[in-house]
Amino acid sequence: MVQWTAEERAAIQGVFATLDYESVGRESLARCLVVYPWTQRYFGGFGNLYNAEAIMANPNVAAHGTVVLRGLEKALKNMDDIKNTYTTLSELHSEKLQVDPGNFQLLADCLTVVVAKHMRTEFTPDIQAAWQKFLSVVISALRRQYH
Amino acid sequence: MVEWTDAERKAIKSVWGKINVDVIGPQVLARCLIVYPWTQRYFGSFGSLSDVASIMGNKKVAAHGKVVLNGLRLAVQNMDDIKNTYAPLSVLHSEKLHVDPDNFRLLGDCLTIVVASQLGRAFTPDIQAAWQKFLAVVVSALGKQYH
Repeated sequence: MVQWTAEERAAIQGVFATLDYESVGRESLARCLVVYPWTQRYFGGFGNLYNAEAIMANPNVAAHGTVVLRGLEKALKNMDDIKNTYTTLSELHSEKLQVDPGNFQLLADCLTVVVAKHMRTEFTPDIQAAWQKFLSVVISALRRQYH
Repeated sequence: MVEWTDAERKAIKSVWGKINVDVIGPQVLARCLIVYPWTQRYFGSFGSLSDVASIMGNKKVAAHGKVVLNGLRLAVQNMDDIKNTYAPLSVLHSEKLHVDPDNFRLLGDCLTIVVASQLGRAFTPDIQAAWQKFLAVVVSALGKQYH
């Protein structure tokens, strides 16, 4: 089972407290679609993803970004059992959405960039370390039901 | 050969122009040692790296961070031939320093985080895409002479 120090819990909760889910969700997903363009393949029904401006302004991207951040909140609220909390989500991504699990890391990286951009000097190295540990646990849980 | 659009060249030079490598070099290397602690193995002679505060305050880490980031200047100035520009550096890292080339990507990720936290809103998705493409080319060139 993943062990969290009190400092790590505080760091991760602290990061979440700064996040506006709509704006961070939209920006993280949009960045993923811009920086790693092959990820657009999962969003064929989203309309115009032609360039960065279109992606950032796309309402489907915005809505879905919020969905992703709310999903991440589940992990925050169940930090001691992320693995089981995410069983259904993992099956969904594997069986139904058929998302290549390599993409979870890419979205996580974009989210970390957005967090750094917002928190600026407050995103200290030890907060970054705790945050990235949290995201790797999330990614590992999301990958778990793939076969 | 890597193709750069005018927009990409402009984005990369604009990021480079906004960062002071002597200031962020130390921060980037310190973050790498904190967030990915196994990277400390390459710095056995640097003295105390026992906790976040020691790493952040370590003078050898700071000095070496400047060396590494100043090395990036070569790539910014030779964007059309990063591969050959970095051949000697690649040989050095492989033959003499024996650095696992996967660590170049980790350092690059820490650099992107520091750039995002410095530039804030100015680090737009398009600029992030160009910057990450640039770092991917640098990382690839550094790995090229490994055998």
